Amino acid sequence: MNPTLRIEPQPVIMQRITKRFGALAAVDDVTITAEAGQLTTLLGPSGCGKTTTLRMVGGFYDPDEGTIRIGDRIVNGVPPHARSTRTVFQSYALFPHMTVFENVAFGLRATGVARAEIGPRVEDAIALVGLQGLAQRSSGQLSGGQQQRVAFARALVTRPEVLLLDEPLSNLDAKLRVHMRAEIRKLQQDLGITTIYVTHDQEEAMSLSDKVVVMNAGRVDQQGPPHVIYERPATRFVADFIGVSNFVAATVVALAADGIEVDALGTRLALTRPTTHEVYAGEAGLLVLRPEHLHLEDADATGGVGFAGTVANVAYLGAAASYQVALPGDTLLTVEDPAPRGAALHRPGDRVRVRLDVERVYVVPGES
Amino acid sequence: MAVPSPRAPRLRTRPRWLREPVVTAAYAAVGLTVALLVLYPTLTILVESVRDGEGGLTLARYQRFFTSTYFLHTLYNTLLVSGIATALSLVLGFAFAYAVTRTDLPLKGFFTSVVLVPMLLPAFLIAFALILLLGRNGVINRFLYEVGAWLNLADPYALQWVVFGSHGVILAQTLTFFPMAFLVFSAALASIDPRLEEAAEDLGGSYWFTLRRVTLPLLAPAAFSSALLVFMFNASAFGAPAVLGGGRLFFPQASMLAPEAIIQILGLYDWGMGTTIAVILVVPSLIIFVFGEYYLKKRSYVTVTGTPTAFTLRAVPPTVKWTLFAVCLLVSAFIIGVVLVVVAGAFTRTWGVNYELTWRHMQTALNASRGSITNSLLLSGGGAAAAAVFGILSAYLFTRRPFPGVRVLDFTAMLPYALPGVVMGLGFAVAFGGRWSWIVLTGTATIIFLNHFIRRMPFGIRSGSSALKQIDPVIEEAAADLGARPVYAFRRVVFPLLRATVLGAFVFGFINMMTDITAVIFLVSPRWRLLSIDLFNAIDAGRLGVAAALSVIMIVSTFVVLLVVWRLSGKGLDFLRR
Repeated sequence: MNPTLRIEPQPVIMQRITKRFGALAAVDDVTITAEAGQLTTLLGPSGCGKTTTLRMVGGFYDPDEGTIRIGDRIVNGVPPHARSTRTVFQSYALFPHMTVFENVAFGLRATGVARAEIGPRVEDAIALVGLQGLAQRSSGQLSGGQQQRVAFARALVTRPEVLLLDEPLSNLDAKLRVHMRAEIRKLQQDLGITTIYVTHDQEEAMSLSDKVVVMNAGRVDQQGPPHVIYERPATRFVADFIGVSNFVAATVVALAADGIEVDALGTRLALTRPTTHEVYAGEAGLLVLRPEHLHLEDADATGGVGFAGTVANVAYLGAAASYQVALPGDTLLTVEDPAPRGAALHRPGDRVRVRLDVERVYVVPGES
Repeated sequence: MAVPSPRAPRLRTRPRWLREPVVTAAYAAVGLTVALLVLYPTLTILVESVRDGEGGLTLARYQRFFTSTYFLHTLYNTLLVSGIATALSLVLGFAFAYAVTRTDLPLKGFFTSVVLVPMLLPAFLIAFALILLLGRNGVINRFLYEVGAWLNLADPYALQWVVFGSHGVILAQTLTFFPMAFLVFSAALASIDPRLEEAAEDLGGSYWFTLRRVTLPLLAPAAFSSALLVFMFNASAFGAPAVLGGGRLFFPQASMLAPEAIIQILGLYDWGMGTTIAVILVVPSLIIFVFGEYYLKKRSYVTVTGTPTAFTLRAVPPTVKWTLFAVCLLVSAFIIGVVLVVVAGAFTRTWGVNYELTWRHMQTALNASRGSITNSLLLSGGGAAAAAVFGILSAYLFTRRPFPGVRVLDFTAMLPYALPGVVMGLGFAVAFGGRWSWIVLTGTATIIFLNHFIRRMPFGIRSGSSALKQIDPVIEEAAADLGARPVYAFRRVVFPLLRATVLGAFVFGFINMMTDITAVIFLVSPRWRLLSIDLFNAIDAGRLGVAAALSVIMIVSTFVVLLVVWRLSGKGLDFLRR
């Protein structure tokens, strides 16, 4: 790795921060830690407060309550230009009247870096993002992907302690998005830079992150490594937002030493690693059933635990087939068949049995 | 269920005005400027109009205005002339706009350029040119006399159409102000999604049905706002009534409001009555301004689709098309005639009598007005430059660094746009003359400069804020994010992006100031004369040759500045369309 771009990673610690716009709390008493040198994703639908949170770290908003630390410094009230954070904006925000070189050099010039140092550092940064030879282009002459690379070079050339990415891939087409995703991850790991990444795309978040923070209506629903978020969702919102989930209303019948027993659709299930929440007998909850943990069988099959139902709809997708199965009591389950055979597909109206991988069933609080 | 924990403590930060000292200082400067140069002069006029000789207050002058036949006739003249001229301006402006945006007429580019020419000329210059064309000795009337004589008419003058009177004032003001209506209409027409009209025809609407039920209703807000704007300018006009109106208006005993205010002050030295008329002139302008600014903006049908579809022009009936062509051609020819006749007049020995070529008028003009020319160039240039820079800086403050109550400051700073020139000039004369004051500037270049500056600042603010709307604020955030302090970011990022706007505001201000008379007529002094005033005096004194020569000097010098800025900015006259 080129020495001019080495970065000293720092953690970002947001402690109980709140930001209000008028009466609305866009971010409501949120605590998040972005570990040093790791990539942390803020994930959620639009309006969940993820961008507001990022902008508070960048210094564009000040939290109304709570503190933000970068390393061991409290940065509340510190204006953006005095912070060691650099942002790659969703629209890239390249300066339209400057060339690629001037754009990248801007941060160095603005902070008074010695003239002799600027040239080589800018060249290094431009090379790092693979734009050699384009330094003298004006920013309007670049493709979307190239503009984004300039935005990265411009941010990285100043050796920030923290890199902030605001939906950086949302303006690219689907193929380029997947490609850039891998490049961003590689760049981040090579440089070892603390990165906070805002996105509404759960696939992007899962594939990139060391830690995913799922936000909902200004609050954090869950934070943790991607596999924990997926396999052990803390709330119905998280389970619903990440991947496809079926929810089936259930009642806790009994507590056991190694799990709980629930009643769902008149069937009694013994679950072994059911939930992160404390549960009580008689409490209502929702079973989270991922389509890949459900298996379609003939109606008369036995073995394991299953529900009887009727095929309502079939979608053949090539690599997989997706079934909608109607259970008694107006419940529709999405079931995935990972190896469909065209001739052997079930048809709408077929009576079937849906078998569950009981050891993967999870329970979140809530009623249907 | 967890017990709700107390909120995290609030961190104390310093108040914003301390954290951003540059912004605070800039606001202080803008606030002070606006208070001193807008509020103070306006209030002095108001107070002066109700002050009696003994230091008490009186409404006697207003009572006199609204009971005297003479003053009421002045008011009626103003309303009638302005109303008719406004209606004609709207019709012409719409015809031109429709022709260039909705038809495939030949010479469209030519029409679009010519229609902007009157914006570069002062109203009284157009009125003056009309004298050269249609005065008693005007070329056209001379020709009509010859025709009459040739036909052996009993009265060989019968065919003449002499321009003096209400019809002349209306003609001059229509020519002067219809380009404004044109700009509003063509912007509105260009932004109406052509698919709406296509849809109307697709649903079976004929051309006229579509025009009447779809196109025109969509244009209603634009029509309304340009009507208000044009009426406002018409009602406070001084040039054309002064040159063409004398004693021949609808109510021939009386003049119009703006000239009357000037007569009261400069002719009769009646400051009380002059300021009273000025206040009466302010009221409708102010109502129109407030209405247009804060009501009309909210209801516009302009459809912004973001996808400028290269739409094919719909078929316009040939009769409509060629009628439009005839109108555009006639008006354009007339406008070009106005310019040509002035140039011809400058080099003709005695207009209407002896058409020998001569340099004499030009020499006289240059000798007598050399000082005025330099003064005008320097003061207009300086005032316009200051107005452009200061105005755009203010626009930046108002839009990007707002504080509660910024709307009030914005409104006050925009006021000189609505206040007629007579009012701003008179206000300065009263406020900074010996009669009132602690600051005496009468007879100095400073008072002219400041007047130019404050009257053009609204244009800087307006064009600045519309240009800033085009610049995504995230660009500035990026600069701050990369470590640029606010002043550095403004200097290196925002200002370069506003360069074309600054130049546009400068040119527009410069032209306006070069050609202005209504305000500066109160402010000039023997030591500080101006080209526009010399020109007006020459017209007033009937020295047509010298007046034409001075007009040529004015046109050439504004044109040169225009050309230089055009080169500098690499753009055409686009800024006029903002």
